[in-house]
Amino acid sequence: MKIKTMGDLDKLREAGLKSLAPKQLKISISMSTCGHALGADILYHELVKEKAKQGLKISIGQTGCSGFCNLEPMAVLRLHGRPPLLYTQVTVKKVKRIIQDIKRKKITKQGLLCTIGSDSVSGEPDPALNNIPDYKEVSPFKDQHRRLLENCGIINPLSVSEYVAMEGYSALYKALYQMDPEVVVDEVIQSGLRGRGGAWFPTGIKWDMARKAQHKEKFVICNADEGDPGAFKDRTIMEGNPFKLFEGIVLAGYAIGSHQGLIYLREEYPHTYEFLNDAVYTAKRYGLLGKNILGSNFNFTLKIIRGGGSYVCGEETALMDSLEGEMGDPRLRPPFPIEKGLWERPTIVNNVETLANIPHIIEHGGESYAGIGTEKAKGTKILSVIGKIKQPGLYEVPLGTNLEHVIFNMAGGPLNGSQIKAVQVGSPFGNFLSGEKLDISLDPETLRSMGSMIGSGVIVVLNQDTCLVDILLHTLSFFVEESCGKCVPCREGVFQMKEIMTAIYEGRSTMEDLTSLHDIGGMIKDFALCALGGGAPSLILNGIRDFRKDFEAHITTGKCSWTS
Amino acid sequence: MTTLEIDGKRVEAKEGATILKTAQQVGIQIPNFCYHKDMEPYGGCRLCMVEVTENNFTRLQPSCAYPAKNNIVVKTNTERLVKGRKLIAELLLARCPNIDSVINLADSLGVKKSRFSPTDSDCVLCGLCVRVCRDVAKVRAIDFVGRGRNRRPATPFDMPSEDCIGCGSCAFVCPTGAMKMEYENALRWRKLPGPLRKCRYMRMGFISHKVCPNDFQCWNCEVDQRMEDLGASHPVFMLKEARAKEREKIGGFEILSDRLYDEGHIWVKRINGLARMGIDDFTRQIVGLVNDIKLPPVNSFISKGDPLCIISGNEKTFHLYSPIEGKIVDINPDIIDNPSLVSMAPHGRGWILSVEPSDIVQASKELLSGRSAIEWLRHESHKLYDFIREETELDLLPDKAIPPDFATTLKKDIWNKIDKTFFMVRQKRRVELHSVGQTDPGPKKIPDSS
Ligand SMILES: Cc1cc2nc3c(=O)[nH]c(=O)nc-3n(C[C@H](O)[C@H](O)[C@H](O)COP(=O)(O)O)c2cc1C
Ligand code: SF4
Repeated sequence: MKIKTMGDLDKLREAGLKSLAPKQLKISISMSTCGHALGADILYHELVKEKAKQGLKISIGQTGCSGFCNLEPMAVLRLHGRPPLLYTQVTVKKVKRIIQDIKRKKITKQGLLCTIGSDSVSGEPDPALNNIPDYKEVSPFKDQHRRLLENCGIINPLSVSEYVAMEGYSALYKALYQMDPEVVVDEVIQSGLRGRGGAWFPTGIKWDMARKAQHKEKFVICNADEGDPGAFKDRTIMEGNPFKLFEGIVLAGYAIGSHQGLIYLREEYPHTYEFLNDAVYTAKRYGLLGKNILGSNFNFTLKIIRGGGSYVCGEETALMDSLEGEMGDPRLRPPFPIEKGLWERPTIVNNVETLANIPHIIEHGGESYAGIGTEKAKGTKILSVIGKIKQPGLYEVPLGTNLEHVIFNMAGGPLNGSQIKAVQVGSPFGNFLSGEKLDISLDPETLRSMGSMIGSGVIVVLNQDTCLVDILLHTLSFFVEESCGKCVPCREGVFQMKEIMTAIYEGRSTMEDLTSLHDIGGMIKDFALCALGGGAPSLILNGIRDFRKDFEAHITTGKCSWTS
Repeated sequence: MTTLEIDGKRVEAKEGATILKTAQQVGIQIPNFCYHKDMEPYGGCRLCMVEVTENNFTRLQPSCAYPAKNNIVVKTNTERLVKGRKLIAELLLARCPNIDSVINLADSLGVKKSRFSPTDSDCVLCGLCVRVCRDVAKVRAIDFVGRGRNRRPATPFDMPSEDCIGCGSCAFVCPTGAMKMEYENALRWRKLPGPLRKCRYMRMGFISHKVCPNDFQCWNCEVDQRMEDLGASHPVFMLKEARAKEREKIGGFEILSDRLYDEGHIWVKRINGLARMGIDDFTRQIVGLVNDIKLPPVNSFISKGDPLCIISGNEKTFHLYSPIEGKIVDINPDIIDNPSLVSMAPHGRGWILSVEPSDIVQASKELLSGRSAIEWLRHESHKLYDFIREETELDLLPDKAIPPDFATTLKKDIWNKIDKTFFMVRQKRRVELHSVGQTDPGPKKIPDSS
């Protein structure tokens, strides 16, 4: 069925609400890549078998990842008249037990993390749910401000109706019928949204330039290469709520006058590829992509392209080379993509998270969007917190949230009561911050003032067992491995930095080597062609400054006092 | 008009010119390694980085690619740049410690040895071979494979390429000698039967058919040598023009693909080791009909920037300067008798004189050919039409020929401006020239029998 009018949308919304609050028991298993890896598909099929065997009156559904992959597979249980219940680390045995308990009118407490939105169900407090917190009060969801991830892990990601029930597609409808493209761009400028792919360029300004570029053919590229080590926010959005992303992409197309979009998807996400293609197919069937979107006369096609499998392909110009079938080498600028991008057409490249922000901005207005965040960075940011931390995962918080708060209060602090030695914000380019200096505001300006960057929001926590020389050498190896090799400073220079670091690590060095590292690092920063080479030296040089003890130990004693 | 500052000098840039080209034009040399004047900039070696201050913001930019924008301030030799270039040279030297061109480059930047751990590679990865094959010959027989330090130019799967036309341009542009044309590759073509058997000029598309007197042994071909002499470069760089048309009109002015052009509107053609020169179509159209010509004497020595000739026509005089240094060995006898020949066939029978050049290879490198010549002429034509529009009452349209009496209609001061902007760019010193007929009445040329 194609959605053509507001009436169609309303009907769909009702259907979605019904499926989100079903009359009979509904168990939805989280079936994203991470769920699959931990046996969600087995669970799902066992459940289907069990239903047939026992003739159970239940429905079985699926959800996406909610950002805490170590708690997978998760299951959302929907009982009539009660708020949905979220179970973590579900197994076949546990599910059988849950079903049995429900037959006995009991609610299994084991593995039950929280209820989802208890305030959404009216009436007396439910005695059976005594002591079961709402997800807003419980770690790891507590203190989060889930604007982008609000539906992830809760709705069925491939159900248009459930997304519409969560206010989906009202922004696109509003834009197509009530707003001129200029107005859409203005809202985005007003919102102060800045790119979440790492460079933090104002999205509205980029769009405005692309809109003014004179060309019949323009492209919207969604950068889903997600190459930053430790990042998985884009995947979670795509697998948890793909239509939100699609809505953002179509809005971008409408705003700049483009009719073709491409999602450049990380090669290592094969499951996501299949999944997104299903989503595109579904969106087309509903008239949300393709000809006459939502009954308007705006057309837009979307294609999913798998990436070239190299980190540098996430750099926007290399990405376009890769899309053109070339090797992914960064291009020289000017010309900028907004003048001559893909196939020399005006092109905008935006990160998944950036585009997923758009529906909210259009729906509620740029000003309202800008209500949270810092003076210069508005909205929320999804942080991927990983490493030696109790609860790794995705934490969506307003920009400007305190780093210490995120690590200790939200993510549970370091693993097994160990000491935090260093935290890297903005992996792979961000500095390793000393564990004593975590009282900082998470926003691009603060980190820049510290000579670092927030990047795409990956936070790596390291404890006292880690040797910084070891970790920095490891990071450098990553840059050497991923350098495209086009320009000399990065190809030869970062390699030589690694050689020196290896010598330091192996105790074959002198203090003079630190000077060499400084010289060469300074040059690379200035002379490299793209941000991969240009960003590589800072964290090494700052690492030497902030963790000099580790370096001196390696240089003077010739060995590492942490790893033996 | 684009004006910028380079190392404290105010410089006027041509439309669409890069910083590097603009700097070269005023004699500022910027080191580079992966740059080639007839190819798109690549920006890989980073040696040509310069400090660009734009909107109160200073950044390093590759001058080979960065456009010469209005009012920017460029510095090519700050401490930061010199230090950085030295480090790059050290890195290159560590990669290719035994390659002469790399050693020389490092040497020119004051680097004798590298502190970094060496590897013995013979390829600097400048990308010239890949680019000439892809962008100039339009063949794409080779490309890079691998990433980072494992990157290298190669044919698909390292097998002899089916697509390679054996033009050898990759080996020609290679600055280190790493890229070699396999002899077998050339032989492969000889084995083919009948009409499939083609010489490399046929495969490049210069000629459509040929009866080869050398049994298709391209390496014995005397055309080959001549072709290279002609372009002072690999013939592949003349390919695009050859494919299109031999004579092209750019902005209404004729340009020939077998000539080298100088920015003072002199063409140069290499003939039997001599450099023959003449005026270009642009000059011809502006002057109109030439009725007098003043020339330096035969056997005199001419330096770069010395007057080559002074021509007059339509009551105006014109100064043209030599782009080449050498001894004048020959003056076109026909133009002494009939100066108007210069304007009737400027590229042909109206040639002016020949010199025995001191260093033809170096001289040719500095001249424009192929794409760069076309670009230059297009720019000159825009400049001329802009000039005419601003300075005169004439209503001329680009691509329309200039009226034959154009020069007559111009006021003296405007005329001088034209002379200065377009023709005196090479001027180094003023030397009085005389009409050949007056200074050297000698024996009047006696026509050969007939
Ligand atoms: C080496 C390198 C890798 C990058 N990888 C990604 C990536 O995986 N995903 C991404 O969205 N942006 C990546 N970027 C940033 C993009 O170049 C570009 O800035 C971004 O896609 C623009 O979108 P935004 O304005 O929405 O942030 C990378 C940049 C560099 C230099
Ligand atoms: S900095 Fe590194 S990744 Fe970027 S263009 Fe240069 S070699 Fe390639």
